[in-house]
Amino acid sequence: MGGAGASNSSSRRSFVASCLGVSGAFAASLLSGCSFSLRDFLESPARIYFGQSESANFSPSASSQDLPYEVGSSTTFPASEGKQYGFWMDASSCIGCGSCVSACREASCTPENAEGRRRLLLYEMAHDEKRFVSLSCLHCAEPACVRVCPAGAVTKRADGIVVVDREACIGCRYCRQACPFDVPRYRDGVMDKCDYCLGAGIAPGRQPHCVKSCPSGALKHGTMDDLLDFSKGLASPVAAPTGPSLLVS
Amino acid sequence: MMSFQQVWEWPAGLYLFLGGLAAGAFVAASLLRLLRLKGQEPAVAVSYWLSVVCLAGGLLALLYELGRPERGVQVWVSFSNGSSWMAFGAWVVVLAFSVFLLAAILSIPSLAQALALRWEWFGDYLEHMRTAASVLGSVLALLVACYTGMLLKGAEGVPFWDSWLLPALFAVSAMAAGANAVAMISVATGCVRWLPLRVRRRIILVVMVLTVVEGTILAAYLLVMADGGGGAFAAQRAAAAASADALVSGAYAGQFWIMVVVTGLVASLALSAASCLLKGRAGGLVLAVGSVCALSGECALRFLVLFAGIHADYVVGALITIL
Repeated sequence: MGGAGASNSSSRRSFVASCLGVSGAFAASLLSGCSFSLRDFLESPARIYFGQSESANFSPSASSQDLPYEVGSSTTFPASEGKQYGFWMDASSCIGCGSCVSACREASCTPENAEGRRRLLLYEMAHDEKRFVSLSCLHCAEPACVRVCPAGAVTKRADGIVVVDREACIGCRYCRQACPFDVPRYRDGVMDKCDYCLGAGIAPGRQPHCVKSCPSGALKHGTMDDLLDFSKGLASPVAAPTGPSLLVS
Repeated sequence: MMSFQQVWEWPAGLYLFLGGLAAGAFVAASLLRLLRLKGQEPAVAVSYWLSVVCLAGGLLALLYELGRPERGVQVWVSFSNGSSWMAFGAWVVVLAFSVFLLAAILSIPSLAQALALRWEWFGDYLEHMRTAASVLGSVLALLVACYTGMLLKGAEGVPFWDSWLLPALFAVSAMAAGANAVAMISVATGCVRWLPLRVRRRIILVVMVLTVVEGTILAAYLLVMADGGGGAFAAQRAAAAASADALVSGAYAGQFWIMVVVTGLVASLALSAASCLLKGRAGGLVLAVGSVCALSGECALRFLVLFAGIHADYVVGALITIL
């Protein structure tokens, strides 16, 4: 259920929840004896807490007719083996302008009422410090979306780029439930996600539109080996069960 | 703050309930049939048809949840991803539906007799076919019951569902729901009066044991999840704990305690026990009310487990690492 349908989803959920039972005043505290809690996590030494905001307000400014190239298929460019492309997100220099989100929407011809492939997350930290993280598909080493797709519509190419065959997708949203980063979006009922702009005519290894549009150079793209070398230890890979191809600094 | 998953909504919850109920009712009805208990044929037939209708309803709910329902058939046609629980489950559900339907058709005496008159061999093999359908259908029903939990477990982006206790919980809960549904049908069709009190008490005892086992697994599941669920990453443990927190003392606590614990477990257990002590019509009525309570709890359990799912946020863990 996408952003546009979020309020409807919430109201439906409230309705169903109400039908399930009347609100109760009593609730025992099973959690009281537990050794781990959400509060412990949020009150860790770094004292980061969630202040996540979707960048729904970044509107697209172009349609497919305005593009200087033909929007093609992810299969236009052959995959070269032995590479794993990824992003380096320098949260310390991101200014949160949302240019990457707008550029992504424009390049992927995302309709105004649809969720974009890329979103900007805001993490509010201690002392009112803020960190923006621009996030799209992380083209994981072992993608959960590929593993769970019942129609085999999501595949990982030899160069590590995870692509979706929109003609085969049935729109079950299992990939979104399985994705550790809540990445897959749905347009016209089928899955849609970042393909490093392959579908927008950018060859593998060339800079996708989100990177080119970043005014502060906070978002970088390349092979993971090159990004790690270039970051000189300043950036850390994001750790998750699927091995995402994203460095953060 | 963390937010509950909005990806799957009420149709998925309805499927989880109807799939489990269909599976449980078929197994319970098959046991009644295979034990050849006197006067239970109408209850068995109605239960088989209930399984068919519930599974069909569950499948329709799943199709309704799809972004492109007209492409849903591709799951069965292509079967291109053996690592997907949904692909595996889709085939199990369709096979189960076919066998459930066969068993339901064979359970109608007039129809079976008409077919036996038309084909002599049909009459000769009717009982064998009924037994085969009951046994094969029960095996498939057990797979369907487990699959409802495996479907959620496979969605590893939601740590609250990533536990083997969940398919175990849903499987036992499905059997309890099915046993209660068949008990209710037995009362409604009047078949219960043919059961000797001793047999009736044993059946109710089995239902009560299932309910106790379900409650035990539910408690273990929530305790494990409240403790972080054993995830290797802090983000997983935080999301799992937040989901358990939401059920036990948070946003869904009211529904959880009233519908699942009090109505579905405690009240149904108490009424089942009371029905053992009462004779005649009153005993049957109390048993039926207890069954309705149990079914309400089973339904609420699935919706609430689905709604309480929270996606882990691994990015925050990375930010903590670099700061």
